[in-house]
Amino acid sequence: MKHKYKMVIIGGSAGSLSILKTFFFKLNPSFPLPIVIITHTMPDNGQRSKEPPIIQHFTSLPVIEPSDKEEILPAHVYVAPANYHLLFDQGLIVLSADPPEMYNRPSINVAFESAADEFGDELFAILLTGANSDGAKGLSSIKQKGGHCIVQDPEDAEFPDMPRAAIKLVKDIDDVLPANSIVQRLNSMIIG
Amino acid sequence: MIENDHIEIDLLLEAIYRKYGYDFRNYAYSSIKRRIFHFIENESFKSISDLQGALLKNESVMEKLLLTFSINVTQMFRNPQFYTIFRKLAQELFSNMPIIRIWHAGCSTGEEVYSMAILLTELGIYDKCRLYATDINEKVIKKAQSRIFPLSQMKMYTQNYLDAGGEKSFSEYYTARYKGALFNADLAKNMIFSVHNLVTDKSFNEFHVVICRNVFIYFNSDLQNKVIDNLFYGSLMSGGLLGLGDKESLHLSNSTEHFKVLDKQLRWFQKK
Ligand SMILES: C[S@@+](CC[C@H](N)C(=O)[O-])C[C@H]1O[C@@H](n2cnc3c(N)ncnc32)[C@H](O)[C@@H]1O
Repeated sequence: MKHKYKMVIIGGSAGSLSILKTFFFKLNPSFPLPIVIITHTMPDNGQRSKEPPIIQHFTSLPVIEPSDKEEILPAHVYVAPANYHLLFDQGLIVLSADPPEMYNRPSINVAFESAADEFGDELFAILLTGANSDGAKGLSSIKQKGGHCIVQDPEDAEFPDMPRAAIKLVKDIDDVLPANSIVQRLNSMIIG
Repeated sequence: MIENDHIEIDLLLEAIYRKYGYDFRNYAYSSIKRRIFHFIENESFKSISDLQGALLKNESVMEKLLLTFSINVTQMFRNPQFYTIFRKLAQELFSNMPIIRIWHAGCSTGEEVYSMAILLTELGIYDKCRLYATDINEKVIKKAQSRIFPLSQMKMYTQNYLDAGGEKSFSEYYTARYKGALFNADLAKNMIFSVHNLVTDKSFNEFHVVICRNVFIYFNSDLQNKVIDNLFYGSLMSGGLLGLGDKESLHLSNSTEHFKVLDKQLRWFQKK
């Protein structure tokens, strides 16, 4: 299957870390696209986030907590640092310390909206479990620009609020799938 | 294809520059776009061009927008390990020097500068240091000179101070006044405050240390490189130190060859 995508972006909140572990364990190690992950990491007094080393255990792709203006490279995984919004500009990751959005920084909406601007219909977006409604508005922007949107099936989600809010707001979501099938979708991109 | 929004925002920033002299044309586009759309929503403008019309006619709109554009959030001993490393570096490099000039560029309300003064006092070298503290925004400079910070923050700052390797009781450095903590006049005796714009102003001295944290994240990479390659490189003496913010780096700058990385995580660099 030939595809047009340039980047995968994943948003998740409560419950998403355990999903991401399995996700990266099952992801084909030759997956070629950059993957950017936005989760609501607990601020821990400005220290490093705990996610990148944990995720790194489950994949041979390099997992990075990006600096400001870090170049987005193929076959790399980027995890948004705590306490910054993550945006995109001309092939770079741009961080911002602007105030939180709906109490969240990083905000999934902010990252999704900026990714929609940067990648248009070449973006593949995934929204996972979470206990708030962040990400819904962002998915709606991605859809408007022609990107592909997958939401974790609320039945399959440990915290269904976030997927539910997105399904409610965005009428034309491409797929609503359990977490396992979402990885399979990504893996199927590289076959053929 | 360039988006319509992008064209309109470029025109808006150009209008601001031509009319009021504030140069935001090379600030990080995605962040500035977000702030403009926030502003449009909060102030009920219909579009970017609607805002532009109002801005050109009415200076008070510009003043409000300036507040949206300037993020002055700061802390004492922000990212404490940054200071721990500096403490070590200063002991190694500066103990035999007769004078040490340190430039805090984009110092905001000054918390960073007072943190440095405390650290240097504890190292016993503050008397031979000069701390030049500059910011584009005159209001924050005035505030920095007042020596008063919110009392409500002192608990967090005390923890940061201890994490940074502070050796005393933090409360020795200030006295409580109403809701403010007034810091000791001694700490400010070697500080020099002034307004300075990193985009348009020149260097004004030669420094042993330049600290510029959490300012570059508001610039685009061209502007950041210009400031590092020209202004900061030119302002540092050879062997001088450059300290950046927690998530900022030199990786795009031409100066990577001219700087040695002393601590990649904690963002300390040394001019070769
Ligand atoms: C987030 S504060 C950083 C304060 C402090 N350095 C810290 O890290 O906690 C950013 C500061 O940069 C200043 N700034 C923005 N653009 C500037 C420019 N062109 N020249 C000088 N200062 C600038 C702002 O006014 C603001 O006070």
